[in-house]
Formats: sequence, C-alpha cells, structure tokens
Amino acid sequence: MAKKSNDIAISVKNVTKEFTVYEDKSYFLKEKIGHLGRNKKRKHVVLRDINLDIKRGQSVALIGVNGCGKSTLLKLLNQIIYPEKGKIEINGKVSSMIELGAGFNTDFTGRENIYFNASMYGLGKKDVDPIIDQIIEFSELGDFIETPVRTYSSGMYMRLAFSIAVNVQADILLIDEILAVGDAHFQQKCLEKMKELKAQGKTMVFVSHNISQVKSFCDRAVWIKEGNMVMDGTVDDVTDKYLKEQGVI
Amino acid sequence: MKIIEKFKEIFKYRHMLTTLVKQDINGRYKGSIFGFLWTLLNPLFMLVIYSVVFKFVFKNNIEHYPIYLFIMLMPWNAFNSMLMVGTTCVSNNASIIKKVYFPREVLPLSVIISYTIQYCFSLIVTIVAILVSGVGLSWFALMLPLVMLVQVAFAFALILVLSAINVYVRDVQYMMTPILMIWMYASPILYDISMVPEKWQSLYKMNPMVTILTGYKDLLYNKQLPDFHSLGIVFGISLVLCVIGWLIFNKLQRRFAEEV
Ligand SMILES: Nc1ncnc2c1ncn2[C@@H]1O[C@H](COP(=O)(O)OP(=O)(O)OP(=O)(O)O)[C@@H](O)[C@H]1O
Ligand SMILES: [Mg+2]
Repeated sequence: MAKKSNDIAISVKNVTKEFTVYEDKSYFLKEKIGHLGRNKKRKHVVLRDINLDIKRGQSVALIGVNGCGKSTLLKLLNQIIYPEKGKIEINGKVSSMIELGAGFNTDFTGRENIYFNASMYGLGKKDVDPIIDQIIEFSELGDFIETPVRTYSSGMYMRLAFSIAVNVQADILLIDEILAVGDAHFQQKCLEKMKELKAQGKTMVFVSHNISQVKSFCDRAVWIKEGNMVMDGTVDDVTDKYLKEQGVI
Repeated sequence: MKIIEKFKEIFKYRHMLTTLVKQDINGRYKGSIFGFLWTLLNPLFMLVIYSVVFKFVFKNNIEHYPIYLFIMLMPWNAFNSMLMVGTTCVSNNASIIKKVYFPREVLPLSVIISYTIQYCFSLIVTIVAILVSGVGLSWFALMLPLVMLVQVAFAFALILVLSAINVYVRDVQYMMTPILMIWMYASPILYDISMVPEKWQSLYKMNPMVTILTGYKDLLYNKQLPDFHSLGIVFGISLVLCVIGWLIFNKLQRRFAEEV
C-alpha cells in the first residue's frame, strides 16, 4: 500500500468544489445584515466528483472550454483553495504558475522579487544566490531585472515567473495557460525547458488552449466539461474528441 | 499534533517570513528622507504633546511625568501598531493569497516580528531617555524581555482572530481605531493606576494591558520586581488564546483565497 502510493504524485478523490456566488458581494456588516433573509447567494458547483491519480513523472493536460473549471482544479491542487467534498493528496514539492505575477511585490525590482518568490518555495538567500544568474539569464530580462516589476509588460511578468518556477527544484509543476502571453521565441524556450524537466522525471499538470503545444508535450489529457471529467486518456484520443465536439476539425 | 505539523511547515517557510519582515522594515519608509528615523520621531512628537497637555493643562502629580509617559507610551504604541496593521495583514495581501500557496500564518507572524523589532528600537530610545533624564536604570531592566514576551503573545492571539475575521467582515478594521482609543484610556498610560477609584480597581485590572504596562512600570520606573503572579496569569491566558485564535484562523483560512 505504502509502496503504491509512493509513485502517485497527485491523488484527487471524489472532489467537489462549489463557490458561493453573491449577487452583490458585501464586505460590510450593514450590507451583510441587510442581505440576511433575502436569498441573494446561491451555490455554484464548479467541479463535480473529480477522481484523478497522476503518477510521478507524468505530464497531464487539462483541456476544456472557458469556465469549465480547469484553473479551479489547479488551485485546488496547489491548496490555494479547498474542496467542499473529497480529498486531495500531493506527494512532493509543488511549484506553480497559476496566475500572472504570482505573488510579486510590484514595488520591488525583478531581482528582489526573485528572492521573495523563491522564499515562498522555501528557498533562502543562500539557496537563491547560486541560481539567480541562471534565472535572470533564462528570463532574458536584461537590465529590466533592476526595475520595479510594476513597470513590466505581461510577457515580462510571465518570463520572470516562469524562470523562477522552473528553477526552484520542485517535483511537481502546475502551469496554467500563462505561457500564452509569451512571444513565439520564449514560448518555444519554455516548452523546451518543460521537456527537459519532464525528462528529469518531474510531474506536470498543464492547462492550455493551444492543442498543438499540448500534443507535443503531454502524455495524457483530461477533458473537463461543465465541471465534470468527461474523458481521460492519451493526449491524441482526448484532444481529437474535444476538437471534434468543438467543431474545429 | 496538527499544531506540530504547522510549526514544521512554518519553519520551512522561514525564508518567506524573513523576506516579509525585511520588506516591511525597508519598505515602510521607502522614499521618505528620514527613513527609519520617522519610526522614532513620531512617538517622540506624541510624547511631547502628551507631556505638555497632561502636565500643565490637566495637572497631575506623577513624578518625572515625561519619563513615566515614555515608559508607558512606547509599549502601548507597539501594541497599537501591531493590532492595527495585524488586523489587515491578510486582507491587504490578497494578491499573494490568491495566487500562491504558503501557510497563511506567516502573514500575522511577520507583522508581530517586524513590529517587535521596531519596538526594540523604541525601547533603546526609552532607555537612553531614562539615563539622560537622571531617573536612572536598575538591573531590573534586564527582565524587560519577559514582559515583552507576555505582550507579544497577547497581541499575537488577538491578531490571529482579528485578521481572519476581517477577511469576511471588513468592519473589523474600521472598528479598531475607536476600540484602541478607548482601550488606551482604560489603561494606565497617561495617568497612574492609583488615580483609578478604589471601587473600580478590580474591574480595571481585568484588562490584561494593565498588568503588562504595570510590569514595564515596575521594571523601569519603580525599579522593582514585577508582579510575576499576574503576569504569569496573563501569559497563560494569552497562550490559551493563541491556541484558540489559531484554531479559528485555521478554520477561516480555508476560504481566504475566495473571500479576499
Ligand atoms: N472566486 C470565484 N467565485 C465564484 N465563482 C468562481 C470563482 N472562481 C471561478 N469561478 C467560476 O468557476 C468556473 C470555472 O472557472 P475556472 O477559472 O476554473 O475556468 P477555466 O476552466 O480555467 O476557464 P478558462 O479557460 O477561461 O481559464 C467559472 O464558471 C467561474 O465563473
Ligand atoms: Mg483558467
């Protein structure tokens, strides 16, 4: 039993996630009391009874239309949010790029943010010093690394976030479509880097609407539709079915 | 058991904690000419005003009144800032809470550490003032860390609860200013505890800050041993409150990313 669970990096069991949607969100007591009784909130089930086991070293793509729950699932895996029902187990150190500018302090420079961001992955100054040049070089940000990140473009944000996330020696990488904001050259470079990490045996969960990227990189794909897992299989099978249903091919 | 796991996890995130503390201390006065000096000038300014008003306008007969004020006001200021900043420490960090995982306790902890460091500086200023004024220092001052520990434990317990609730009900942060104002006047800072009428004394002493501030007064002003019995009770209560506070925080933190 222990041995079996050892090669499972991510285990998702019967997970259901619902958000409470308020018609008008209130942070203040006066409004909260005012809203009492009037039924202004409803439950919106975003993920329904998801079961997913991901083996160590596997690269899995999550595909599905906008709003189907892919990012929500990634956030659950990253323990940023918690499920209402079910259980999630993660074996290994996680690094993630869920949203753009993951935890940057925008008033600080790129270089300062490398230290800050890496500290959230448990790396201290001593651990960052030997790899910082590598991170900066990978990002190709040049002199911009010394300017506050609030002056960065979306692509520059992504470059910095990606360069950090792939250099912190995590076992599991969660990547949410943010590559899309990179230019062609950098997207290519990211994909190469991800392949390299895959070869090193890292586990990856990748969300992307770019099916050719997904195909070139993932072994397995999971299709989510309106919060349900409708298909789980090899990347070619699942993406073909998905694109057919979308009427793209 | 869960608490031990939590300690281990927070230890893993110690670099984040130190980075946050450094950012806070460096960033607090980033772009201001006097920088860190402001953290010392503000309380000094407050002190001058209070000593003039309460010495000459509302006459009182506390000996060395400015020094008395100094000794009582500095810890109160630290407590005040810890609570004010601590209350918003989760809601003001929405951007990182929504995007990255880290044990959320790091945020209130960083506030406590950062303001404790700043408080140590103001204590140095207090001690210099005591020496310069001729009031003089005794060896009892070496026990200051004990009283500080009680104060910090008490503040941390409150911050855990306040910061978590403030995510859901933002009224909390606006209620803090009047509450702390009333609390300040209900504590022996501007006046001496002996000025409180006899019949109110027992009620008055229910306020943990009375015990804590009296501890500072004993060590620095009266130059005598503090009331270890009362301080011990307040410390014990604070530790229990820290555990309860953490349980509440831990329960509420599950939805932080959705609510902030
Ligand atoms: N904090 C929230 N509160 C309420 N509803 C939310 C919240 N976050 C997401 N949702 C809802 O959950 C559903 C799934 O959102 P999610 O971000 O997971 O979609 P997605 O699959 O990543 O879509 P996309 O391809 O556009 O990125 C959406 O209907 C969205 O409205
Ligand atoms: Mg998404």
